[in-house]
Amino acid sequence: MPLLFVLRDLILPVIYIDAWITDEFVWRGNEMTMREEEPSVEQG
Amino acid sequence: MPLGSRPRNLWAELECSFLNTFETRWQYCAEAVGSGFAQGKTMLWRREVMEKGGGIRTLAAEIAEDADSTKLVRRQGLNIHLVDSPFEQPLGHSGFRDVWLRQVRWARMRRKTFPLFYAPEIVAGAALPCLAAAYAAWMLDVNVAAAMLGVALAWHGPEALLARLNK
Repeated sequence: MPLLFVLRDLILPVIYIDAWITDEFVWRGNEMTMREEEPSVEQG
Repeated sequence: MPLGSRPRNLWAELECSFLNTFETRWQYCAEAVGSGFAQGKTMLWRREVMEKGGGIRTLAAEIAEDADSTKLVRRQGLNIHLVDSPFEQPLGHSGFRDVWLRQVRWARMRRKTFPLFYAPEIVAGAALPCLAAAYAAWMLDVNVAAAMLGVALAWHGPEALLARLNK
């Protein structure tokens, strides 16, 4: 188990950076984005 | 607050290391200082708090409903409280890809919904302290590997004890 703590802590910086630079992903087959919706004429 | 349990393979054990002595630990520490965060899977509400915050439909304001729940509660000057004992979530067999995708998704959610709280997470793990120890050892002309090992033991030793006590 302690070795898994080490593996986890080696992974954490990669996850950290990924979270800052990634806005779009696929979850359970659904395309998702974290970008705010741009207001449009259709939305009024 | 989920606690990973009954791992059946290495990657499920890895997920336990994320869920249990890392994420759950930080969640309870945050709650202890009055800054609790909701984490869905199960959330109990007082109806009047939800209704005063705009009703259940307002939980669609954020990409994650538990993050929006936290903000809704805090806007009313209230605090999130966690259960006394986390709920076990049996993990069974997991693939590394599943663990990776779940953890990056959660991290992206935290970054998006609470960026100021997310920013310091870079120092939540042992990687930066070990790098700092290596740099200090190199500058002081002492054994770099020993310095990194010492920091890793000091960092993970208490965590291993916490895991053992809560097995």
